[in-house]
Amino acid sequence: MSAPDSEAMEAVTDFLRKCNPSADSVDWDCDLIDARILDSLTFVEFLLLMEEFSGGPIDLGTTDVANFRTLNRISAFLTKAGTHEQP
Amino acid sequence: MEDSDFGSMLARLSEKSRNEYYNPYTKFSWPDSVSEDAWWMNPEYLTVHGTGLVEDERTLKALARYETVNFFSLHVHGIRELMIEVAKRIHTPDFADYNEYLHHFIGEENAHMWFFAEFCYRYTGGIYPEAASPLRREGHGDLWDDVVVFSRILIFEEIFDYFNSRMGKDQLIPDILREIHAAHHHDESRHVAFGKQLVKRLHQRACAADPERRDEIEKYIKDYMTYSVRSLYNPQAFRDAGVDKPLEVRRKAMQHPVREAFHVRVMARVDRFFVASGIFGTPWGEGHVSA
Repeated sequence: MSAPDSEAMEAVTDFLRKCNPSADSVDWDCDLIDARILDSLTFVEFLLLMEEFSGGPIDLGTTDVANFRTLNRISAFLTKAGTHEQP
Repeated sequence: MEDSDFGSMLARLSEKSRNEYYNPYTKFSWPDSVSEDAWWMNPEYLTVHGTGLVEDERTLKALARYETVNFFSLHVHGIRELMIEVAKRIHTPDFADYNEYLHHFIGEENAHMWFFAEFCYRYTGGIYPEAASPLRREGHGDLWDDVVVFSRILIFEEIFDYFNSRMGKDQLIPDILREIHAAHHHDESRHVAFGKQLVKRLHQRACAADPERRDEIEKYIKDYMTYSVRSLYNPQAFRDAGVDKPLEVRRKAMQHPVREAFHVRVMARVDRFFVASGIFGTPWGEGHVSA
């Protein structure tokens, strides 16, 4: 896993590491769901973390789950939400 | 437990269910209103208890109301899943031995679902929606899925019974709430006794057929325990109670050492069961919820 570039991405990587220690070695383009780092149980908590750092509720009716499948996409999502600088 | 002992237990539980049957629709005297000045939940059971994160009594009393709604909403959603899964299995060959008791089980759970929802609709704006995951639940093969389903039910029942058994005797909370907690605790003791024996048998059956998945299932059940404890901390309840920075307060509360110790106490009984029955190689323990 590359070095986190912000408090938000640091929190994301810390969360993923606790879900599955193999998160430490994943590429930023790795699909976190296919790699079973995020699953149906942990995704609920992960979305709340995303809401906290993006500053508002995330409606999955209008926000594609694909935004959260890789670290690069998560970083882009948080950048768009204005919470941190993209690497 | 031998087959004959399990059969005797099922017969005994069915008899108790018949003898202790009550009409849920007439059991309670519903008051016209429940005072918002009262503690709807003893502050000791609030998710921020012991953390110092919320100290204003008015906010804490509001949180007691909304966490009661969350608690009852979790019952409603949990019971719906439970009834769906049990209904899928009753009168199928693999569950034929349990048919009679499963009828009582479904009937009693249906009653519980009604009175938890009824309280929320009578005195508040209704129940909170389920925090559903957009990802499809993982499958583990039919035999292991049976273990997972009934383990989820057992965890759900044990968590809620921790609170029901205590709040069912708590003179601080309004009578109607104490009566609801007490009624649920009374019935759940039978369901937990049945659930433990059933999960053990289903686990032995799955291990014999497909032992390779054993570790995967242990991890899944432990993750479900973590998920269940986190569900007590509903961010919408924090928002509705007027807690400032609700998501941040929620996260800090879950991570607080006092809460970590509380999570272990809530889970202690079911954790001990999973270890003693060989379903867990190591206890769920602590440090999961704060991730």
